[in-house]
Amino acid sequence: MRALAMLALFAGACGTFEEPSIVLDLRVIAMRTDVGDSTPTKADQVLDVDLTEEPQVGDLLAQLKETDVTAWVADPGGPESRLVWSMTLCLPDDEGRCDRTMPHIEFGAGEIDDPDTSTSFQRPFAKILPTDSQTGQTIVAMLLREIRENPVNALGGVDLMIELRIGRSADPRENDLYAAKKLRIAPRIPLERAPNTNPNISGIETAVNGLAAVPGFASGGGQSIRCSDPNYQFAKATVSPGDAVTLFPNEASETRENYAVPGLDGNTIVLEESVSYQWLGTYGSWSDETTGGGHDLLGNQSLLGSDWTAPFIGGRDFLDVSLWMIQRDERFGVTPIETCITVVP
Amino acid sequence: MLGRYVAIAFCVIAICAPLAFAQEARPPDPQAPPTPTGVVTKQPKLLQAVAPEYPPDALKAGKTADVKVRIRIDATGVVLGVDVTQKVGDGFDEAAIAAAMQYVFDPAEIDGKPAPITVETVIHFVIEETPEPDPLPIPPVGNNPQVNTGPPNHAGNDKLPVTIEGVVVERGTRRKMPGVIVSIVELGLDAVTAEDGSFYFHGVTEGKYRILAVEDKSERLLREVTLQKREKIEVRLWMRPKGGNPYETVVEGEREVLEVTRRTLQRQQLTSIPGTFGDPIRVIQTMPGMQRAPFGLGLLLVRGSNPDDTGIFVNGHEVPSLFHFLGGPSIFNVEMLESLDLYPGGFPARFGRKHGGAVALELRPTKSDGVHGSAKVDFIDAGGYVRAPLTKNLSFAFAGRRSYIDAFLGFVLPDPPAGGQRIVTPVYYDFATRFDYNLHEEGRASLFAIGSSDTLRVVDQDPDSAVSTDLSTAIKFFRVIGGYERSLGGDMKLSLSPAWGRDTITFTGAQAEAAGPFTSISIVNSSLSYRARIAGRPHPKVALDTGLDILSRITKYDALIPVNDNLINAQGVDIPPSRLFRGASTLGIGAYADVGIDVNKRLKLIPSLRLDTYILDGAQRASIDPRMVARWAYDKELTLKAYVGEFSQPPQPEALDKRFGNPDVGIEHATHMGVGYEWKPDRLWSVDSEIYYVRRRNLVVFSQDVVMNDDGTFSAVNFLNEGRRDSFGFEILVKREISEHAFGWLSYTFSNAHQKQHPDSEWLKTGFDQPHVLNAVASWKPGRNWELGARFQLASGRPDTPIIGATYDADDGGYDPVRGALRSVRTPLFTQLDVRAEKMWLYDTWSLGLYIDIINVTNATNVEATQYDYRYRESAPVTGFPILPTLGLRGTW
Repeated sequence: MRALAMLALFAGACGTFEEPSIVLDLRVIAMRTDVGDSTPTKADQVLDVDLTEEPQVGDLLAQLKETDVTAWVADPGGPESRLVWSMTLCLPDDEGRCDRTMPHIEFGAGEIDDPDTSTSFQRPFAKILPTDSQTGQTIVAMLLREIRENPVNALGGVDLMIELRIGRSADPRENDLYAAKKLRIAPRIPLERAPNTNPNISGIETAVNGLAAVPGFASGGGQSIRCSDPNYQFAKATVSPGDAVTLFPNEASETRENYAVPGLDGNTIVLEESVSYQWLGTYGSWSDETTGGGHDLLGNQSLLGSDWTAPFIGGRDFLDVSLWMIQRDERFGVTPIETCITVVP
Repeated sequence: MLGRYVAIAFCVIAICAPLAFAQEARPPDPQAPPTPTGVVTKQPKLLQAVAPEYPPDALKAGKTADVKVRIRIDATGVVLGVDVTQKVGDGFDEAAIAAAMQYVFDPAEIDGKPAPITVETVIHFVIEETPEPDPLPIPPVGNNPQVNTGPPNHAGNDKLPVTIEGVVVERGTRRKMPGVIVSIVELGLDAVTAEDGSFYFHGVTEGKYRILAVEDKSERLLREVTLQKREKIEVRLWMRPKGGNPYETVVEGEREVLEVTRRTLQRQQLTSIPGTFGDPIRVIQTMPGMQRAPFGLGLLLVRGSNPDDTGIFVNGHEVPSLFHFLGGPSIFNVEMLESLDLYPGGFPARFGRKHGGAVALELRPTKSDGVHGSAKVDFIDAGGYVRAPLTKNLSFAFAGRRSYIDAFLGFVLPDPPAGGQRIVTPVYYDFATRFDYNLHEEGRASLFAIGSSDTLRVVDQDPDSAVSTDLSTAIKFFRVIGGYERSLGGDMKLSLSPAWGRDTITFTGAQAEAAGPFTSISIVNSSLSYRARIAGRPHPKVALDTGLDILSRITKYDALIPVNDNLINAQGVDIPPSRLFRGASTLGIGAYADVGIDVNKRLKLIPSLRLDTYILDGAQRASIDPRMVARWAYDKELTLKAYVGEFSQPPQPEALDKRFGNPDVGIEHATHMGVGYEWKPDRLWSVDSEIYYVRRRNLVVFSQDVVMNDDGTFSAVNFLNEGRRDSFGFEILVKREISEHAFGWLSYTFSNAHQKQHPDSEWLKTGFDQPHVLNAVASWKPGRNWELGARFQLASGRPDTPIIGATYDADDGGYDPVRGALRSVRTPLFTQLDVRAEKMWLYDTWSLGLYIDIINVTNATNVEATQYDYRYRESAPVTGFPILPTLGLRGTW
């Protein structure tokens, strides 16, 4: 009796919302930090500081490295429009936005062409330059504040926030979207602690309906390509409506790092990264929105790949579909891949 | 020999006029057509008169009086009410009313049918000088019986042999009925049946007689018997309960007032309130002071407190509030319960270790009155109850229930893929048994055991998938409660009660093909408690309830889970499970005393004190809780009341765990205070109202603080005694007691409950705060063995926090909501109407009931919560129950 009631309740609770894995309009797809100029690139920084006493400003400034911040955005559904964006480095408030009552700095702003119609990649991009006096002082102020206010979090690493604000140039600014990414700056405690390397893939394998690969698929080498790219328009990867296309990432070697962090009890904890994948597209449907990642409570660890089912396209001659795979490790390392598949009857 | 003066009081019934009807009383016209005329065709006849008690002061003063009264009689001859039409004072009016309320009439008839009527009469109080009585006469032989001087169930001349004897039983249940007046109409002999329903008439000679049985909850029974010369006959009188429902009908019991507010529900009410699934805890939710629980759950939200702050006590022993799957049916079988009391605030000191409210379940003693039972079947589960005597002094009862969802779930679940498997087996059952042993002068001993089990096994395996499921959960509950009661002489009673319990919760999770679990949790909770209680009136002006309350509980945790309490930034980190053993122990010793002092006829003061000492996981804590209740009777109808008191509650021992808790956590405290009144204008109606304020402090709240140890390492604080939760409100209960055809109540609560987690936090509304809660419950028995019921609920929505935006979290691919002001909006007003109809078929030895209970009969859409799309742009309401009918069958014998 009660169980029936609960079933009825749950049945009544099902909403009909947009599918999260299908990009319909303006949306931030991914953000990535590249710290320093090493290869492969690092997602965060590790500083040599002694936390038993307050670090010197000069020591911190001398060690802080330049950081590139890149955002992947899409705007498939709306009218063709340039996008206005800005990036701010700050400490987060309780709601996950920049706390503008504390030290912060807007380190980048600009406009880009409509990312879906432009023939070249259009991405918000900015550099955090500690050598810039105001930027450097602001970063140090944020670090010192966290060291004083929250020494434990400082021990684990201070997570600064990069806030991206973006909107169509013609729209009111209150319609802007917000995205946030953490930039961790950590002390070298324990000594084995090293910066996190952004994950990477060597390529994406494909199979149509479990058989042959998608002809002409462009991400075999793990490189991105856009539907509006003239090269793609010259040589498309095509599938038929209703085809199930398996996309499987081949991780680059050493993608899953072993890393050392301090424990609350003072001991060193060594962990192995898990890597997850988020799958997005402008049309069709996905068997799994996210794959990989850690174990669930039953011990399952999902396969890395996901099946994308090509949409039926009505009376059209073809339909270009943008697909994204966002690879993430568990320490804010990110690598997005964008590609395109064309559905033809 | 000189005589002595004795006081006698007698009455002369004078049927003055049938005041209930406009027409003048006149004899029926035999020639008149049989159309309703509203004419009194038969005057009521007094069958049983009770002599009033002469007011002692008036007797001493030699005063006499004639009291005119007006008596309202129902269609069965039972007196509904008595009014004094001309008051004379000196205690005569009250004595006359008390006597007249006990009269029994042969009912009046209107148009040839029994009907209610009102009559007037005069009761005379005189003092006569009477001579010393002569020696007892020799017992006569024949139809001249003397007044019986033996037990009330014997009538006639008890020097003569019994010639007519019998037993009165209730039709449908075979329950032997005490307190039934059995009369031989022709002889004017009355007997009142004993506890076993028996009656005896002595010395009745041969002849034809009419035996009349009258009882206020049953229809009158008239049966003719013929007694032959030198014969003795036995008769069995089957009385039909009024309204056809074999369940007793009482709303609220009389109180030995040692508390300020107690709201009582009797067992039969617990089965017939629509929309409550026959669940006693859910019926309590219709009382004032209770906030509405979302999704129909059985949470007890008393005056702004958290559910865990209200204790549920079974015969004084605290038990967890236990329901089957998903907050499903309560494990407490209503047949095993005698009554259910809600103490919403200022509760007696015998209930301890809680600062919210108290719910007391009193278990129903078994009886040696034959084999009785009941059975119930609906779509999900079936259950039964049986009670029987084992020996003359030993009786037992057993109740059980089992679900059979698992039996038909396979028919509605999709088939597993080829080569795979899919198993879903939810099973719940519960049982309760009780033994009672009558030690007569040495008291009464009892043993009660209750247990329940909820298990769920889910196996889902697809050979083409890398993911599979093998999940098992089990929740088991078991309690044994012993009891011994005996009189200590006078009005004092001793109760001793030990109890033992064991609760287990287990969970294992694994892949279907795995050899063993990947994660598991096992929690075993063993408790031992003991209560000793002495209660009664050691002095005419003093009522006492005092005793000891000891509780020992040990909880063991054995878990195979990912543990990340040593990691500083654990978000998103894949941590392998590791074995974890923890334990927590509680020893609580409490002593209490509630003392009711009748300062004068109007004022009663009830000072209380409760002392508790604890050893919580090795840490010692103590609390001292003084309380005071005052009750002032303005008159017989109106009582004013006020109270103030301290209440304490220990933290869960897990909160003191050295690794996951804080060993320095202390006791939570609350101050309850309030004023109110109780007004009972007549026997059927009453009003109970109160204004209250509750201030809770030192509440244990979660903390994310970390402290540095002397060695430079860090420790998480986890818990602090920094929480506050205050509430105030007004509540009123307007109640109509159960009568032959109807009962019901209207309860309304206005409340304001707010809280803050830490001293520097802002005050916020509590998550369950609801300013207005209205419950209307009505039950009506229109006749022909039908019972119709309805419950209407109206409640303010719960506080909610609006979401005004979202931020894409580029590190995990999801969106984080941006919240507006915390708890600044509310879900919409909640309204729901539940109805219930039950038809009973009464047979001599059993009864059958078919019922339909429809929840939300108007299919109102009630929003319980809000769900959002992945980026918090769109929202949709999560609604409560749609219209939900339940059909069931129950039999009773």
